[in-house]
Amino acid sequence: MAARRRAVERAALRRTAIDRVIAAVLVVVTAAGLMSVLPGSSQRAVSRATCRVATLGLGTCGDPGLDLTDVALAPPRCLTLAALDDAVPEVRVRRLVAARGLVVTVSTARSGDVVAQLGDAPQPPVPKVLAGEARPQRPVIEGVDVPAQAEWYLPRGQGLDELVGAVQDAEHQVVQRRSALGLLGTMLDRDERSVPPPTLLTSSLDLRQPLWPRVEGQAPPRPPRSGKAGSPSRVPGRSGSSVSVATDRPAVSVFNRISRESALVVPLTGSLGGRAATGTMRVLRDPTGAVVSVLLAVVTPSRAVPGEPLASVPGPAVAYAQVPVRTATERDVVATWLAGPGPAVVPLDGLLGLRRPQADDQLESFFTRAATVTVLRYGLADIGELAGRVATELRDGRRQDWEGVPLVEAGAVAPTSSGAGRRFVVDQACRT
Amino acid sequence: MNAETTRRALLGLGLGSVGALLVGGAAATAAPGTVTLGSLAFDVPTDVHESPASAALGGPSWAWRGDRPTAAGAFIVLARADLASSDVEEVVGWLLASGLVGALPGLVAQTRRTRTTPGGGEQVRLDVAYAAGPGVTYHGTLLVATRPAGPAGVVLVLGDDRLTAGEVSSVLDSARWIS
Repeated sequence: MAARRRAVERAALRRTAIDRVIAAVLVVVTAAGLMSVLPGSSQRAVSRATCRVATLGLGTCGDPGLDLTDVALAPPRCLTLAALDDAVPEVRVRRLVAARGLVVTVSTARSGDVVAQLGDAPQPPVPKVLAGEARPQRPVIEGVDVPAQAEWYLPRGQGLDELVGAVQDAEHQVVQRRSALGLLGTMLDRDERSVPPPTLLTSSLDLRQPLWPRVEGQAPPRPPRSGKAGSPSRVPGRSGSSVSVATDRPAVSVFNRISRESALVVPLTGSLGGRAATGTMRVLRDPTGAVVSVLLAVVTPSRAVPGEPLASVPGPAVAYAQVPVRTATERDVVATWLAGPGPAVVPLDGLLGLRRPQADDQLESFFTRAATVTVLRYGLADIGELAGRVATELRDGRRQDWEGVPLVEAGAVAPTSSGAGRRFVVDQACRT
Repeated sequence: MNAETTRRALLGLGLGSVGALLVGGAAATAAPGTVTLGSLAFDVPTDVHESPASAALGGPSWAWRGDRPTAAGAFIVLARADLASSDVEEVVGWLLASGLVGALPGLVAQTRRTRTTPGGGEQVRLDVAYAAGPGVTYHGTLLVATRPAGPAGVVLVLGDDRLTAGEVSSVLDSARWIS
């Protein structure tokens, strides 16, 4: 009797166990079925949550959770904007946020080159390096700091996923160290990537700060050479249209650790066509220190160049002048100009005034012969805001479409071999 | 007796000459003074003395300023080792930037020579010349030394036309990282 009861009990236990296994299988199958119908992002979120629970929050738990695939920038509206891409490439800016809060701002140019910024914490002021300031650190996610005022330039976007992965690995290490099992995790997990150093470093320079010894005297110092290329003037042009380097605001240095090029960006002030004008200049040097290009942007409320028709909607204009410096003679002219006895002056009568340059002014002759001038006019825009945008563009070396402000006119002045016969051509495709 | 006196006089003269040569040689090659700024060290001739900041010595931007206050010509040594960079091109760009506002009239900069610095890292030497004042041209060499972890060090040796390449090299060749 007792033996029969035990057999019945064993059979009941077997049935119960089988039922539980079947129920568990059904739960898993149901969960899998439900997962399959969820959107991809939700699937990743569930997977990460499950992973975190299973690893007590210590696991890496899947991919970065960021869509880093490049989305091509639309073609420019007109040929003038396409040509401006050579001087200041337009970029598409995407702000991506990963699961643990990592913010990655990706600026992609049409060439495929990418500049990445990490984190969204406020940037400390640009360090004044010649005053002995160190480059401060800035948090990008909890426990992970990177140098401030620095970006990652990634040619063709190569290395972006590694950069993001490295930051997440660093965060993972921080989490591990805080855990009670941190020591074990650190011992087992030895293949974490380290965050690569930034490749674009921005610094602030007070150009008035004395640095080079001077011998005081009554007469102004005379340069030790007249220069093989003559003596380009540092005085305003014939009608007074010129801009000069403003010393009341700091200059900015941007160094690219990949190309080894350094850009010096300085504010400009002066007049154009009898009206006040402001602007910014970017002088780019190659690794040997030779100037390879000068990019000038002058902002004015009136006509930037003769022959420019007034747009249907009023607003300020910016005239970009891109001057490539290619030959030894051109480098001599520019070097002599940049080594004058006072703040550098850019004569605008020939460059933007489209006048024939004076024969004895080699700088003006070179600029008018080599410069590609692009004029963009924005409708109903604030001129101060435009000047600020242009200064940022030249500092960053890239520009964005100005959302909410219409580009009402675009045109260009092409260079000529003699500097004569230059004329402004409106690009109808960009005219509003 | 006469021969002995003559022999001793000649020996005395010889000994005296040798002594004078040793003393004179020792004075000419007196041990230079060592300047240490952070981890950067370099040697300067003993007749180059540390001086206070002034426009004639580049202002307060330099951590160490030395000159030779003699009629033998200007000889200026300037140095600092606190620049937050590990790239020589970046530092050279900073130092030459003020040329854009007239601080370096007639600047001629050339002959970049790259080599390693004793103690680690690389250094670049740049020959410079500029108009320091009315009728006065300073020329010399700028040395920028960097290490991967930074900071960068700079040693600038300047002088007028009487400054020799040997004087410049004696300072710059001694630049080294000591830790």
